[in-house]
Amino acid sequence: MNSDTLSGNEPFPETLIFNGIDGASGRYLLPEMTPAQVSALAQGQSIEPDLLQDLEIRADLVKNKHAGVEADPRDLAQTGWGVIFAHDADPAIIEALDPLIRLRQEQASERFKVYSGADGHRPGESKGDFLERYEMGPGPANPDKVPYYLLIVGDPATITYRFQYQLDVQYAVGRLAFDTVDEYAHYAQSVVQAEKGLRLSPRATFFGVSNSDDRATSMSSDNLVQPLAEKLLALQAGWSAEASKAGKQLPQWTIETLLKEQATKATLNALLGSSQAPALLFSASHGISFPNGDPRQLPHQGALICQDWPGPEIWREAIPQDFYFAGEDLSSDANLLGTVAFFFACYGAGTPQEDEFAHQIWSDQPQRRVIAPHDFVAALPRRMMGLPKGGALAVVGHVERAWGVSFFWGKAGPQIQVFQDCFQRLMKGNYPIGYAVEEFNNRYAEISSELTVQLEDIRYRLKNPKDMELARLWTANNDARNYILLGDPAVRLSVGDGSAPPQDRPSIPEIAIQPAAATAATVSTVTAVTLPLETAPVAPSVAAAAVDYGLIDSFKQAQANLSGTLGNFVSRLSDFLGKALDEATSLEVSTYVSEDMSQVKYEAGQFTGARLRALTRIEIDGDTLICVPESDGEVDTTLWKIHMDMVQQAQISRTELLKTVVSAATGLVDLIKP
Amino acid sequence: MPDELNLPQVFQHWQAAPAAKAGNELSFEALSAAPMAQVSQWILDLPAGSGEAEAFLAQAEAQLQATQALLEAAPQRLELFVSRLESGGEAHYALEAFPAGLTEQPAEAALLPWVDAFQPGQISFGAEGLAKGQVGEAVAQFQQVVNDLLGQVLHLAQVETRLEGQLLARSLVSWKGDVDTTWGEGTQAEERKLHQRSLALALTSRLAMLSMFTTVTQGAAKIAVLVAAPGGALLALPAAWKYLNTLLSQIRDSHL
Repeated sequence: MNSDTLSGNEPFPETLIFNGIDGASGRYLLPEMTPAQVSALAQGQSIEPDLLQDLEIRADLVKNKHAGVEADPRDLAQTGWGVIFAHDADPAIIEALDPLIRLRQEQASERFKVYSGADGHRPGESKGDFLERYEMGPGPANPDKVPYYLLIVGDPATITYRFQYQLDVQYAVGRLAFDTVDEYAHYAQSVVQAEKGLRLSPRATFFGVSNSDDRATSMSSDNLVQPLAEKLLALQAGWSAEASKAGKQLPQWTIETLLKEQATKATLNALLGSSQAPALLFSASHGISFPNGDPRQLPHQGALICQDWPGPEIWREAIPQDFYFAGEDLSSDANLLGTVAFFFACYGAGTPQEDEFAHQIWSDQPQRRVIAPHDFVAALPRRMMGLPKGGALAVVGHVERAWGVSFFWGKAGPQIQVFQDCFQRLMKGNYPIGYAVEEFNNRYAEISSELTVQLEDIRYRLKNPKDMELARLWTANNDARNYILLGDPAVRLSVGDGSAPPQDRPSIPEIAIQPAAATAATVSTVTAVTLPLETAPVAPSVAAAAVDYGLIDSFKQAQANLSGTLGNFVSRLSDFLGKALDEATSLEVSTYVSEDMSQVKYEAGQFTGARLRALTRIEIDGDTLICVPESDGEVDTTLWKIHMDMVQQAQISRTELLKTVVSAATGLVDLIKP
Repeated sequence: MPDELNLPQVFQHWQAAPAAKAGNELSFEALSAAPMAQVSQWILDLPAGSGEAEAFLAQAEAQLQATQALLEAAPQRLELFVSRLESGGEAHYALEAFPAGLTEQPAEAALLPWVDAFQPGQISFGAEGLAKGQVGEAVAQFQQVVNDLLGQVLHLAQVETRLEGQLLARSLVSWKGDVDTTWGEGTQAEERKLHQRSLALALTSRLAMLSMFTTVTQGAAKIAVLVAAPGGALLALPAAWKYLNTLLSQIRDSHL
């Protein structure tokens, strides 16, 4: 987490702290910046015109007390619901989500849409291009054309974060991006089960880390977590009394805080690892980050650094996993069915490939700094939502860094209204999460519009830049934009009224799917997968058999031939991958020497006419057997070096081979699916 | 090496296994059980003059790098091509409707008749259009390449490095990456480096060949956006294949 933090009585410091924690070094990820530096950065950038148009429309609507959609946000038949797949999405994923899609089809009725195949998201397509295909321009949602609730399915390297941010301005948008088909199936079952009778105990937990000598977490604990919990407790007394007068009963929430020394990893483990996990969890902490290429980056980035971290003054080395809570800390026995979580932490929801904030300050290069191999969704929320016994329904968090301007605004001080409104909608109104987080979009629209005006004034010399003001606006703009929702935006909390004692969560039914590890099995079975819905996506213009395609006979024949060829190729690649995954449990490298190379033959599995001098066998679990060459009673260092070079080359080569074969097989699956 | 591919010279050191050429089943044997008949061979005979072997290898490495860069860039180029067609061609992709500049690159220009032919009602048998036989020809070539690749990439590989005909070292690489290498007694450090570079070239070029297939499938998926017919991605395969082949020929002809 980052902050423009307080220092003594000064509401806004001389420098801005950009302090994601680098897990590899244990230090803050970026050096401090002066407001002038941030201001310069802001002046070098502008907001894309089409996005700006949407933001301005949204800002106007907010002023007029109407934003989002003119419908009851809880009634999907009015708002509509749609799911957007990449045009080449794996049919197995569509099938895995079938229970969820069917549920939403029942609820949204005529305003239900599946965008897949030719109707799906196309490579590089912007929000504007996508909506235009469905006769929608900028402005509020019109569910008759495009539903208000939209679930994106696919990783951000395929359907970008930018697409999600832009679409989210006027629509309620969530995303699912799992590694395995099983996790998609678990999530779909979890939502269905939650909406068909689950009644969790209405319990909300506010988890606020405050590490020693760390201004960022001190500020979030004192100015966000604690006051938010207290405010909601006070508000609940009011709304309960109002409801009671009207003869209604609302859930009586138990609102608990776990602050400072209580906010340890062990506490979080116990909280999320049991079937008594809260229905609603809010956490504010640092999120851990790692340098591009670090093997911990993909599994751990965005994990929540707990109170266990002694702080930057005491701890000046790599951050061990004992200090942070990562996705892999959740065992497969954990059950988070029905939970909704909000992580205020750097990279808590995901990481972009390129640094969106500070790239120009530390580099003369015009390109953005590459901070990850590709855009990715954080592993912790993925794990939480894809648990086999029952997953969380949604996680809200940040892509990129989270900033203190989210809840603290210069001399105006703490600003928790947006968070408060969001939680009130969830706890009191039982609104869908996609609607509950709309306040964040409103704030984004407002800040963007203001920032644009300022930048325009500066550009046309109507005004001199006020560095502090501009720095804060620009930071706040990016911060507000980068909140995203993971999960179906139409999910709602399923809680009882609070009168019943807490009960263990039920587990979702066991789902029988091919083992996720068997990539080859996925490849070989995918041709048999059928699309789940009768409304399987076929572009209307394509469906008409009478269309003359020109050269049609040649193409028909080509299609038949290619289908056979590719089927054969898929089958062979599948065999290869299956064997590779099953049998490549070791790597063996042998080095022979011969006095006469012309006499060397390869027979029955070994070279004849040559002497075996060195051998290395590396098992998949890391165990390594090495036979070292010796000469006159001592290690033959020359030969040993040659041998070890060959071992290194073999390791690299095999990894690359498997990756390339998987990539080829994946491309084929995309191509031959229905 | 597939005859129909316009690959740079570096790839020509591969000789497919006879068994693979005959279309036999793949061998997944360990090195210890593999019959030599199913081994694809890479034979690199280097010149012996001072620095000539190193220069030869450097050129081959440059060719390979250029090929890899091309394979990496091809999908993006195609995406740009498709997006420009979509924005400029509107509903009808007849040749005269293409946005200016699209035909400047030979590979893109070669793609246009294919895209044109994919459109409803479009029959382009003229000189600039796509002749009926070209579809079958491209499909047959692509099928041959797929079969050759299977034999080439997924079999055992024997990598030999020679210096003016004299064998320096020989490595056998199994399908799962095991490597057995025999060195001549007294091989010098410079000679060892030559074989190590040769082995790296051989293995990387095998991967590049497989990546070509991935690039073609990715390209087909992108072109499929323009294909107004069911199963568009499959139909786009020959077009993507032709596109890549044209790109590769540019590297080959550039004498890198």
